[in-house]
Formats: sequence, C-alpha cells, structure tokens
Amino acid sequence: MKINVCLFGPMKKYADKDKFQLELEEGATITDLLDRLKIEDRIYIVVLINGRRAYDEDEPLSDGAEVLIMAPTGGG
Amino acid sequence: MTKTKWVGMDVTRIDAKDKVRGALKYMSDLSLPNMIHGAVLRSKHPHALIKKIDTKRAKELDGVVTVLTHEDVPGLNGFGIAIPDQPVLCGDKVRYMGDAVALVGAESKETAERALELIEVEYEPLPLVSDPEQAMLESSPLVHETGNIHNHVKIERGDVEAAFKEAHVVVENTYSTPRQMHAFLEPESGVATIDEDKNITIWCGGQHPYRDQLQVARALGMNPRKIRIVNTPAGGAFGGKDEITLQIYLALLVLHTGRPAKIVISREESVVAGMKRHPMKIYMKTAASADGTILANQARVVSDTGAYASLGGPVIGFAIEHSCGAYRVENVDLEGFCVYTNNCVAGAFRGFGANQVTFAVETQLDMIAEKLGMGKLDIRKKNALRKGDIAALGHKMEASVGLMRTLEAAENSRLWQIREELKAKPSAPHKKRGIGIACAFQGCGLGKGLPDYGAATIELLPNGQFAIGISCPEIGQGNTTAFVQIAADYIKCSIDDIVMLSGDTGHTLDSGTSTASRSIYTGGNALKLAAENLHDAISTVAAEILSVPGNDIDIRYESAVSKSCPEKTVSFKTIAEFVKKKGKTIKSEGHFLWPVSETELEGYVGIPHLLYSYITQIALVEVNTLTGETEVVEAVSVPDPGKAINPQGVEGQSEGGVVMGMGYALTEDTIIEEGITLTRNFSTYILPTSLDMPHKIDTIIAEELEPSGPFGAKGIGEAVCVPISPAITNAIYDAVGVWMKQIPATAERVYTALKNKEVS
Repeated sequence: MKINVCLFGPMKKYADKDKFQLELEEGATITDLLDRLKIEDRIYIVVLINGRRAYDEDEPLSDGAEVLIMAPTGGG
Repeated sequence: MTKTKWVGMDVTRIDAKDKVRGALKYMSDLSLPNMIHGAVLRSKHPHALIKKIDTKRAKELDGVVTVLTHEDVPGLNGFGIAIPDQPVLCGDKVRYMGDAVALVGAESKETAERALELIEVEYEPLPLVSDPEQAMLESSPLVHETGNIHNHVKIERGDVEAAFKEAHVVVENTYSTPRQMHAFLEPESGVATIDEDKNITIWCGGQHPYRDQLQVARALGMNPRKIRIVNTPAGGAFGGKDEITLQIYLALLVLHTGRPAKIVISREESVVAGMKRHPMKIYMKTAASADGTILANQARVVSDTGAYASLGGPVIGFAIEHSCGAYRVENVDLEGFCVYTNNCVAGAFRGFGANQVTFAVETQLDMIAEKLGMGKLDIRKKNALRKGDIAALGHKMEASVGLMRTLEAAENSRLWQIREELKAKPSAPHKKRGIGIACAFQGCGLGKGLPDYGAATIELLPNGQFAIGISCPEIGQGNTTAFVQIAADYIKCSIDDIVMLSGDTGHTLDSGTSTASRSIYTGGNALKLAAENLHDAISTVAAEILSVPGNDIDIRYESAVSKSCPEKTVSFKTIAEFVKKKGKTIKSEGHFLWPVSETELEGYVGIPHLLYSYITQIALVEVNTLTGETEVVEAVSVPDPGKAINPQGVEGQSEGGVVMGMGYALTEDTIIEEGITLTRNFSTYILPTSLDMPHKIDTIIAEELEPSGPFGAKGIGEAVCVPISPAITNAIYDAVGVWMKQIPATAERVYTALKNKEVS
C-alpha cells in the first residue's frame, strides 16, 4: 500500500524530501513506518494520521493514509 | 451565521462558584495519603562547573527518604519544548541561578528544605555573560558549547534604503523592554502518585498535558502511555507554565520511592527559577511619506532568552512577524537574534514577542504623526491592514481582518470623543493629562510549518447529559465555559447538560496547548466535528426507537424528530436510557487540523500566521510632574475576537489584559544583575494592585466574524495585553512631551526625562 508522508521540524532530517510517498506492506503499522525512516526518537514524537493524532505505535496504517510526523512544539 | 442559543450570551463561568467559595482544589491544595514532600536544590552560581556533589549528610538526616542527582535520571537528562537543552538535574555545569542540582524527598517539607542545606556541591565559577549583545561577541563566555546565538531570523522585502531616501519623514530609535514576570497566583505546584505497575499520575499546573507527558516520558525513558498528566486547574499560567516546571521532579520522586509526592515552591524560588518574558533591545528605523503612508521599516531585535532556549526561538520569529505592527509596509529589513545569557530563562508569555515590538512600532508611528502634524488615529487608519492586503512578511491577509472595525469603534468611544475635555481637568495643578492610542494584531495558532491539531470528544451519558473532553487546560482564561457554550449549541442542548473534562490525558484526547490564542478556535472546531458525528449516532438510535428510516431524523433542541412525521420525537434522555439498556454507549470524536497561510518562508517554522486577532486600545494618563509617577485614569479596549463566545469572558480577558499591559508599561521588571535576581518577591517586583486600577476600563467588542472559526470565533487571550503599553507611553508624551523609549516608564525614568527635557 502507498502512504503519503510529511515530515516537520527536526523530523525532516530523516529523509531527503519533506513530502514523499512510501510503499509499505499491507497491515504495516506506525512502527514499521518509523523503522523504515530510521527514526530513533520514538518518545518525543507526534504522529498524525489523516489529521488525527495516533497514540499507539502498533496502530495499522491504511492505503492512501496521510501521515504527518513531527516533534511536539509550541508557539504563539 | 448559525442561530445560537448559548454562544454570544453572558454566561457565568462554570468554575465561578467553586472559586468564589474557595472550594476549588488547586494543585497546592492537593494531598495524598503517605506522600513525601519534595524540594529542589538550586544553583549557588549563575555560571559554574560542578566538580562534586556529595549527598551523604543529607541522606543521613532523619526523615529524608531520598536524595536524587543527575545520576538518578533514567532517561534523557534534559527538557525543553523545542530542544532539550535544560538539564533535569545538572551534573557538570550550571548556567543560571535557577538550575536544579539535586532533588530531595522527605517526610515533611521542613525536613526536605533542611536536607537541601546539607547537600555539598563543589563549584568552579566561570565568567558569566548577562548582556545579550555582549553574549553575541565571539570573545564572550559560552553559555552553551554550540554558541550563544540560539536563533537568527532575517526577513527582507522591497528596498528599504531607497524608501528611506524618498521618505518625507524618517524616525530612528532604540527601545528596551523589561523581563516581565507572569506572576500567576499559584506558584509552580503539584502532586504525583505511582501504582504497582509503575503507572504514574501527575497533577501539576500546565498548558499542554500531552506534551508534558512526552517530556516526562523522555526524561524517565518510559512509555508515555504509562504517564497521566492532569494540568487543570492551573492557578494561572499566562505562558509561564507552558514549559515543564515540576512534572519531571514529581515523577522522579514517585519512581524512586514508590510513594506519592508533593512539591510546592515558594514565590522566591519561582521568581529565580521560573520563566519570564524576553527582555528585548529593539533598534527601529521607520520611513513615511508626507501623507503618512509608511514606506519602510527596518528593525534589529536582540532577545535575551537566558540560560536555556525553551520557546525563545519561536518567540523571536513571532516578534519579527509582528515588528511592523498591523500595518501595510512594502519595504522591510527585519532581523532578530535570540541569545543565550546566564540570566533567568525566558519563554512563552502572553503576547509571545509581540508586546516588545509593538511598543517600539507604535511609538514610531506616533513620532511620525507628530512630525507630520497628523492625527494619531488617522495615521493608523491610513496604514491599517485590510483583508486581502499583503503584510510585512509578504503574506496575504486571507482571513478576517478586524483592525478597521476596532479603530472605528475606538474613535466613537466616549473616551476618545471627549478626550480634550478630560485632558483639561487634571486632579492637581502639578499633574498633566494625556491621551494615547495604539493598535496590535496577534497571530493565532502555531503558524506555518507546525501542524496545529486538536481533538474533542462528546459522550452521551446515561442520564442524558453530555460529557465533552478537550485537553487544552483551563488556565484561568475561561475556555472551559466557552467550550460548554459552543458544545451546547452544536449538540443542541442546555449548557446545564454539559459536563466538561479538561486538561487530563486520562480523560481527553490531545487538543494541543492552551497558548497562542488557539484553544477556542481549535477546541470549538473539534467540537463541531464531534457533534456532527454524535448527531449521526443519535440519529441511528432515534430511528430505531421511532421506527423510521435513519435519514428521516432531524436533530432539534434536546430531541430527535422524524422529518416525515414530526409528531414522532424522542428526547436525548430517552435515547440515553435506551442505549444504556442495550449495554452500549454513544461517544464521538472530532479531529481538527488548522488551515495555514499559503506563504512559506524558507527556513522558518511558526511564521507567518493565517489568522490574527486585532485590537485598538486607548489610555488616558495623568503624570505627576513633581515625581514622574504616572496614573492610568481611564482606558478603552476594543478587541476583535471574531465571535465573542462569552462576551462577559472577553470583557474579563480585556480588563485583565489592560492591567497586565499597564504593569509592563509602568512598573514591572525582574531585575537581574550579574546573574543574581534582585527582585525576588512582590515587595520589590511592583505589580499593579487594586489601588492602581484605572477608574474605568471600557471594553467595546468589535466582532469581525472569521468564517473558519466556531460560530465565527478566533482567539483573544493575548492581544488584550499588547497595545495598551504603548498607548500608555504615547499618552505620557501627550501629557508632558517626553518619549519613553525604555519601559517600564517608572516614576524615576519619567522624572529624569522631564528634567533632561528642561535642560535641553
């Protein structure tokens, strides 16, 4: 299945592009995606799937999912 | 716009009764069985190497349960929203007097504090740097090995030099702003507990429970899901509890002892260790044509973030975004530096960098008007941003822009209309009166490049009421009352049938921060989506009860009705009972993602914004020419919050904002010399009191509805404290003819300026 990935802030270092598409096996989870991207910090991280925050790394992804990966931050 | 029953009404705050009766339990009121009391050992030097930490004597003290140092932090020994550059417990170096070196848990608070005195720390003092401009020099002592400049922002557009040459008027000044203290009523406080499975619960005033959860998890090296954070009620925050305060210390104590723990720090410790507003030095050169059109603005801003970054990086970006005010300026050269020093850490604070630059640019505007013989209100109208305009960073004002509406309402206000009459009647011959006006805009949300998200939940309870959950904490601003009003109108029920859950990772989904004037817009939009999903679920059950097709159901006030047969109705309460009998629940979620500006500034995160709140404020002051003391006699505040969900709440924010901006303008400054905080309590840090209040603060709400907001709402929590400060200093000029370029404009500074004016 194809996953649309968008990296923000410090997560940008894990890929050449900020926005790209990845091919993952059916049933792949957030963990599989983070493994593929070689993202080491799995604690201070926020993953949004189709605009909804995911809380569990074992959550499965679905074909065509928009996945935003960012470090928590703040601002004004 | 949708017709509403609750939104737009003056509704009594849902926490009012408990607060006025003293029944509400703040974090420092909480107590757990068998709990220990924690205390933090702070540094003895503003900059030093740690050679040795000996806790032996402290551990031997009767009643001491544990003494922890950097060696006892199981995960990353660091925290910080943007970068974790602040040690949880310092092991090799201290960078300011608030740095934590050790943590004690004892049977009593007194024993914990006694044990702090028995911890022996051997320091090797280092040269320190307390001036941010000195810190930028290569020869300066390094606060961090990475260099003292934490963040640099540079925005150029158009041709400022050409504009300066063709301008009719150019004004050029340097401004200084103080290290304002949040001065929340409740100093940092909290309790925590741990269960047999090492699940930790922390009750601690904060502004983003889910981010606190991740910061604690990172320091403990734990799965975040094993940590529950409760941030509500916060006992006041204003940005000062956005960063981690005591959460990690509470977690360490319960993790290492297996017992509940409590920490309440003193005001003095809060002053030395806690966050402050960034002091800034602002050089600004502004050009205008003969008709008052602003042609160019050049700014160089140096911001002192103290020993650690926290949100200093985003604050300088935000300051640069707002450094031309809410005006059209085609030629800009804007540069900002966020610099480490050995001073107290600065971080988020209501206004987030806008206060400092607004003081500068609004003074510049008055100076230009003065040189041109132009009205102070007229020059603002001349340059005010309108919808569709291009703002200073080159981004289009795509969302609602209410600045003109606020200016027009200010112009029609009683104070502005009879200003000359009021100015002519000072209370004593040696006192002179003046009037000042200033405007501001305030970016709402986290800005471009930071996905700004938020969720809400709605559950139909067995008794027919609805529990709504939003994690943005109630920090005193009244967002929970507004959420209840919004939810009642979206659900179509009474506000009395809403149960509010706030600021708790155990009972709400992640809705983001209570900062950035964002919680109403985020939570309200998430509630709208959740209510739509709720209505779908209710319709399905109602159709079953009424024996009609699912698409035949219409949701009315407190009931579901058959469209084809309107006499067939079923109340929410009956639906709840029906669902309960079947052993089921109806619970819905709404997930909202903020829209962002189309403009992307390469290399920058958090700027520009898409949505802004707007405001115009007026101050009538009376200056004592013998002492220099300034009194704010009256003020008018005209905010554009989009739709005012609870007008009474907006008025409360507005009045509180005026007073906070008044303190910033006239008296408040946390004075630090050579790294040592001198103003450690409210005896020397001068807050406005009830005796200093203006005789009258009129709030005129100028609603410019935002189509993307819940019922047209944006946010207004921050803008209300921003332009009042330059309105006051501009009024001082109007009264006695001296420009105040450094705030606070204390009696001493105004008196000195008056004397210098006499000499010149």
